[in-house]
Amino acid sequence: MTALFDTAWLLLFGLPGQQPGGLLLSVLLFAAAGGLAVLLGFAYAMAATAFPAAALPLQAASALLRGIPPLLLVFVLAHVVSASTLLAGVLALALYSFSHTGEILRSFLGAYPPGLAEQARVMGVAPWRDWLTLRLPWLLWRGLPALLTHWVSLLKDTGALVVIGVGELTTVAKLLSEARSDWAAWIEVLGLASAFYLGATLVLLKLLPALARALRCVPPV
Amino acid sequence: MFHADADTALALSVAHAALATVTLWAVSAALSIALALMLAHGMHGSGPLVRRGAGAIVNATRGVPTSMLVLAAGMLAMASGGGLPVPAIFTGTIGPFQHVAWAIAAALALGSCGHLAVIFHAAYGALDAGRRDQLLLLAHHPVRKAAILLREVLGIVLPPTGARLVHHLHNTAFASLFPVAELFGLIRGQSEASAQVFLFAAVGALTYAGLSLGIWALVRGLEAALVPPVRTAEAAP
Repeated sequence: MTALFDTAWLLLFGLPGQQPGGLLLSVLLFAAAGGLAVLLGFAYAMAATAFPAAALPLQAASALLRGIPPLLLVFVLAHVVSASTLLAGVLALALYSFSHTGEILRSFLGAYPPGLAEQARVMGVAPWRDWLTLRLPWLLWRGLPALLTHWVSLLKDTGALVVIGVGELTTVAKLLSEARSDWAAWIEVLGLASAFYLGATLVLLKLLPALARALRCVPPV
Repeated sequence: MFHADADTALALSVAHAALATVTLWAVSAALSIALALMLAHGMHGSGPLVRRGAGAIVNATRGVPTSMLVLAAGMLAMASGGGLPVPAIFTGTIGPFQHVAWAIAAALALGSCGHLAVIFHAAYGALDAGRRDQLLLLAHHPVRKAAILLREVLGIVLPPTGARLVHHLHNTAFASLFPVAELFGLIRGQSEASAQVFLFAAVGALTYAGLSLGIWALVRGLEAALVPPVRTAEAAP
């Protein structure tokens, strides 16, 4: 029982001397990469909407990026940003996430009701206020289900950092299971790690819509 | 002359690795679609136990990362030593590790089947109940019924299935954690051996983008060939 608790602790918080790691690091990586991707995605969506001539090349570049596996992005960024594998991992995941988030935000921004834009213009709402109080909440309201689906995928894709040895949950599970010799111990480690991923995705699926409702981005369903 | 030979050798090795990736993708995607059809059928099952069981499997496979499934399958297969004789269909993977490639294909299939089952389930649910009953009355044999339903839902099912199959292609890169031949393993190995990371990364990125484009074109082709045209009131006789 103590061994099981110790394994769970290592999977949750990382190996000794490499903390934070495990699930905690996976969640931190997810939050950093996801946050950066949303910022980049907003910039991309605004640029593609404001400059229609640039929309096609931007979309082509985004589609090309979406065609590259996250593992390859992680591997390449680890060589570009050789000083820190952690930073390389965040940047690679952010790029991968941006290629999806940007398109989601662009498509929803394209569907912003012209009537609302016209009303804001007639009422003399300043552009920055229009964006902050009308367009962004509308984008989050309409785009949240699509963003949530992508974020669940992103949380699981933090496991791609196993190829560069960043000590997130998949890497810790791999190291712990490789250090053991019997099948039962492997199944225990990998089963626990899978359960932690499953739990984290379920929490994400429940937490984010509740948070959005609390922030009044989304009306109660 | 030396450069031409080196370029040819590089192109050949990338082509072989791409073929290995396509084989791994095709086998695991076929397995995944079969599993997903069974799960989607279970989600519409008559008994609550079957429905809940299928739903639980779908949620579990969608919540657990494919990397974890590949890791578990690969480690178990490596430790088993290959007791079961399996067909050697994975090009580039040496004989003693063919069973590892099969195990990884099964893990990849498991990783995508939940997502595909939800797509199939949603498509079936999107059919109007009256239309569904009308269609099912046209056939008595279960296979004929399935064929009629499939034709009806293809328009809904194909685009998201195509997107998932591109993601599925990207997941094949996890096979590089084991001695199974595929494209990412080649790119990684050659980059580290030659220190020409960006050359190999660019070749890999373009090859993956090309394969993704191929999947997209295949799905669009299937849509064009199989999805019945939408009849409008004006077009109807």
